[in-house]
Amino acid sequence: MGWDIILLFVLMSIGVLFITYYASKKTKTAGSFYTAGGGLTARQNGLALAGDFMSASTFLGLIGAFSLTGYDGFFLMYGALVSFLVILFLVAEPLRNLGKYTLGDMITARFKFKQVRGVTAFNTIIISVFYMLAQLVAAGALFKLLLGIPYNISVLIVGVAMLAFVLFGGMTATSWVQIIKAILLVGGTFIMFVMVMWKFNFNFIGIFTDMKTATPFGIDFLNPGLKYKNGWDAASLTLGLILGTAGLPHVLVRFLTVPNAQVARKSVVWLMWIMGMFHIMVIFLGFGAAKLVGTSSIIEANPAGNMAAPLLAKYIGGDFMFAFISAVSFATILAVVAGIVVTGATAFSHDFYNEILKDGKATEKQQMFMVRLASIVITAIAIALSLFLQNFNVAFVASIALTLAASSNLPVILLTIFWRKFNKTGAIFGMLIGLISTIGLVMVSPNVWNPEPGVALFTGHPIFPLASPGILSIPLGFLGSYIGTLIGARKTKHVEDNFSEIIVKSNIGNDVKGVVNH
Amino acid sequence: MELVKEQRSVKKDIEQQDNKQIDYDKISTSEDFKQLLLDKKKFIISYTIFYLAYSLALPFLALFTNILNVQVIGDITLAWIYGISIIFMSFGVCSVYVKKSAEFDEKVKQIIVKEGL
Repeated sequence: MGWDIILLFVLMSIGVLFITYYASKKTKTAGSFYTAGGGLTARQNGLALAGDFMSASTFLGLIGAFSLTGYDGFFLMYGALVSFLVILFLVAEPLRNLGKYTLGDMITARFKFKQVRGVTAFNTIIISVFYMLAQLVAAGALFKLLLGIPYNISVLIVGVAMLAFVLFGGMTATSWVQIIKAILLVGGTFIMFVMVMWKFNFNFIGIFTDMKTATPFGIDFLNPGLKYKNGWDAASLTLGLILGTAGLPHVLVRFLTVPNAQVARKSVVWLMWIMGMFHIMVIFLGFGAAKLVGTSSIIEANPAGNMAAPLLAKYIGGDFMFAFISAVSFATILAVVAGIVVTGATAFSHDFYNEILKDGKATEKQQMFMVRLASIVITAIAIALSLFLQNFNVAFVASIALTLAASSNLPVILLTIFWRKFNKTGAIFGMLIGLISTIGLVMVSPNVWNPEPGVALFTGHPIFPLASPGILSIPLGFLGSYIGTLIGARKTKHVEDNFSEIIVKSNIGNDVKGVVNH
Repeated sequence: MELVKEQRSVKKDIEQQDNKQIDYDKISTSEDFKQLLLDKKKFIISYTIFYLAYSLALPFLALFTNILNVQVIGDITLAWIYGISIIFMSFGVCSVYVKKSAEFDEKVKQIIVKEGL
């Protein structure tokens, strides 16, 4: 690895950080996005959403998945796009109309109990840590490839660098960071796409014929089933992805940064087009990596394919392109982690510390201290866990976080908005059962247990046959909510209910109040 | 100083009165609102079933059957076309939603006027 590459990478990273710093200063004068009640336009929020969602796991993981598993890359990819239809149809507008600051605020708008808030915050933190893991694994692999230092040390360095970024500049600037990063990522992908297709003479049909002989898998590369021998596994993964985003705290919070439901709606439209185009390009970049870089080189750099994109960049655009794509990936990781750390830490300081421990009376200074402390603790936990996950595809690790969100948050969000009989006990049961069953099923799945020594964390037969628990854990989350509701209804015969208010507000919007005060 | 205080408290009283006037139970049981919910429910549920079924069918069709392994154009099989079509299906459903919800917005406005909110 030449010093010129490192120098280029450092220069580009500094450039990205500088833009971020400039944006963060600009944001401060415009006021905080959250307290201002949201002033982002549809396009800005759409880009920021794309930024939140197109993480390193999407960019690096998906290109890797298409390059190594051919058609089966689809199962990791398309669920994310459909998931925004779920958000658009079911979640975005009611969430915006109930007009709160965190997910905990939204659910406690209906169930005004500390236990509900506590469980929601706990959930938010767990999901955030899992989602961060995927980013850290990607960062570790990237630095290992780029600088040649061992994975463990890479993760540690990257984690600490991210933390410094969050503590000193990232708190208020997350939205702008996401916007800039989304543009860089889509732009970088587009340039690579054009360069790769150039090599194939822009023959979109011929490239499929080339792929038949490009990999050791032969024609199987183009057919489903290279990775997923079991259809239920792919279905379970897809279900988790389709329903997961609608429960991801750091994505949901995005809908509270816009002025009203109409803008929330339009920002999803922006996001869909950006991500749809991105997904189409990703397929061909995966092909390009398989044909031009070669399967063995991709596996050698990282067994899960996470480094296919930077290697492809190096092949087609030399050291400059390699440094550019690496820097964009790094900026992506920084931006996404900043957003996740802020969401997780806010859940801790706002929900746990201020609302539960201090009854909403903590001072600004105390809250700032807690938010910083929580950021450090959350990052430390994520770094420690990510040391074990080097050989996992990052898109897959992220899919576990999504399944967690789909199993524990989504049932409770939907039932809070749409089910009149839903109650406090149901909300708590739903969240905890969704959370425990997802983690429990992963613990006994083939990811953790493998009969051959050294392949997975433990040696032995997995009790649960599927790698993705979604197909079982998501129904369990809904079932838990239902059973909890029945138990709660029996305990207390009649409780004061504000469902009428929730349903009117979620359908008509905050406008009601605005008109009244006129 | 006193005057300002008084004005403030009067203003507060008015605000409180106004807030009390929003009778959520009354709105939620009004015919117009019920109709709106019904229309919305029909639209949302039918489309949600459609896009979920369309996208969840892929893993089953692709991995349990061979019907998608048919070459359509050159070496592009039906499986690839199905996969990519999900992206365009998403664009389509998304724009239907935007159109339809503009209609719902109109109805919401009518309810706000009618209920005197």
